[in-house]
Amino acid sequence: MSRWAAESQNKRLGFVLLIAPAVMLLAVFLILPMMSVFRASFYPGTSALGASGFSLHQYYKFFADSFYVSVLLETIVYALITSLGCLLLGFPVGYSLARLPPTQRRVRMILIIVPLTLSLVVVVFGWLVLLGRQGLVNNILMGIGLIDTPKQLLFNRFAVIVVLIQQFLPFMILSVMNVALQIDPVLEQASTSLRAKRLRTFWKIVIPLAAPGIISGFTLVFVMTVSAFVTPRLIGGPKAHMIGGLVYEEVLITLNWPFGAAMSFILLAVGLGTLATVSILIVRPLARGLHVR
Amino acid sequence: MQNIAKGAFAPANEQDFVVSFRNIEKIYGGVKAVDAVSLDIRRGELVCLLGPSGCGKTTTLRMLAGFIDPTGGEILIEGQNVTRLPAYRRDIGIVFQNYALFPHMTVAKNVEYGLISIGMKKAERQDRVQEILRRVELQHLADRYPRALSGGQQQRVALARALALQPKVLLLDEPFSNLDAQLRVRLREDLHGLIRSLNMTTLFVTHDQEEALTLADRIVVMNQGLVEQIGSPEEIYDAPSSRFVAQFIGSCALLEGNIDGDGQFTSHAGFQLQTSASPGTATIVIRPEYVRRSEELPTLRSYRAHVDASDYHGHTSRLQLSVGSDKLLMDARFPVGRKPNQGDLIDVAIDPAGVRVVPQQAQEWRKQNTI
Repeated sequence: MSRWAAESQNKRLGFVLLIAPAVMLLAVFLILPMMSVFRASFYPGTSALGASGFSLHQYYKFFADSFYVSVLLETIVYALITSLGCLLLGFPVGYSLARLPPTQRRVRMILIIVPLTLSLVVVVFGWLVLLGRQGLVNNILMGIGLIDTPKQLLFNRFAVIVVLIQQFLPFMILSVMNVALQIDPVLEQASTSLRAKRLRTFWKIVIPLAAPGIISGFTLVFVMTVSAFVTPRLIGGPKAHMIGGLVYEEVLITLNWPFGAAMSFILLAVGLGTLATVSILIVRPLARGLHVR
Repeated sequence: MQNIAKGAFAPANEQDFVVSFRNIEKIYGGVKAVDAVSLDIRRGELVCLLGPSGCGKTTTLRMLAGFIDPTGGEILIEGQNVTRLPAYRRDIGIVFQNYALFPHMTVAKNVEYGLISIGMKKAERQDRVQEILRRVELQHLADRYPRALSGGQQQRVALARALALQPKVLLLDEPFSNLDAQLRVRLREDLHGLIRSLNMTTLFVTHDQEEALTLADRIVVMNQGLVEQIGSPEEIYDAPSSRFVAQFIGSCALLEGNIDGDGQFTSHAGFQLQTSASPGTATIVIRPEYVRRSEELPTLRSYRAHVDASDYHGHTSRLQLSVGSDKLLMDARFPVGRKPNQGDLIDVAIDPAGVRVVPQQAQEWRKQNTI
């Protein structure tokens, strides 16, 4: 065997050793459980314990019931609105952070990351305090005389979306910032020197070049929103439903694992499908010819 | 310094100036990055800002482009005060050091970008793009993306993109610094020809004296935010107005000493040379190509010099010489096999045409202004 061949084999071995721990962890704690959940979704009965057989009953049950289908649609709509909201609010922040000197950026980044270190339950309870009948917002509104009696601010769809956006905004900011850091600011000057006003520079130069960050931020937020269940249950109450909450109920309250498993995989498939559609229709045309570093 | 600018360049008519800097100044954190720069650029003229990095040349260019606001002074383009105008209203074209081509657009789209900005109709736009790409010989690459082009091709796209808008003035920011040496010379010639044929008024920033000397009609030598000298390449090289200019452009020996009533210069170490300058303390500049073997200049005073180092450069040899304890440089062609070696003694004479006395007042003036 030549020295080169031996060297390249050594390299390959090194590579395998480097990724082995992560792959094993994922295999044991993610892939295997997922496969068993996938299998459970094909049991015909209402319990996975000692069940056998293979049927599409759970999937049929889901799509035959307009309630489940409407909750699925509602979930997707929440996810799209939340992702879009995070994009509109997060893009300017992420972009301007990238244009700051590194020392100033570090402090602001910490401020953005801190909320992520709080438990989601704490954050949601914070919102409950803020939006409740005796909450801060109602008190202020009444104090300045805009309303006479406390308004029901919680337990509606709008509140769910506001809270979801608040939770996931940092992910959008960070992914936009990471990409914007790689955009040469001279390109914007070049655009300006070519008679382009700010708006044109923004649409024709900044947005297309930031597209990879927009995509990753959008994807992250979408995936996290689609699977949210704490927020819709506590903030949305009986009015706002998301599939995550239904899965939670099936698995932990009703203990109907096969149906819960089927809903999980329907959610997974629809979520991935929506992302693929968004990516093909909007993102690909934007990113065409982009220099991917 | 203003009077030097005006003196070296007598205006025919104020209208002829495409660009005027009037006492332009930029202060960064208490430091004057650009200090009282005044400069007029005539139509079709190619002016070069030359100086070491950090001398303020790029800041000056960027103030003209509209990317940096001056802290003082005015900038005029064709008589109009543009000091407070945004970059997109200044009618300038700029080629950036890294070209700044839009990576997500083809060559043709890059060139078309500015034409769309000004609202040109599609048919006219496409004609213009075709025409300018033909001009820079890139029509066959119109549908390529910038990353698929060589450095030289990218530079030509950047140039085409800037010229497509027929700007009043073209700015070039170190346009050759990203290219390898051979390509640089060829592209420099191409660029020069193109700018000349378009009669394009051009302001050009470089730290490379050779670039400045070959391309420029006039050179503005800058140092520590100040203009050291403005003049034609010949004036800058042959009549440097300060030690800095003499040392920055080309190589030279600098000797300090005194000049007596007869114009005889005596260095502090005792080296003597006849000049025509007026008496006083003085610095003299001796260019290496004017130091000759004494048999070539038999009528002139001969000096016995010790060869400290001898480097062969192909067309000439560069010798480092000591006359007493004064150092001289010498560029000369020696017959094959007769090049002096380190440690040899040779007799040299100094051609008076290559001796400059740096004006004393310029030196004092600089001292006052750099503290």
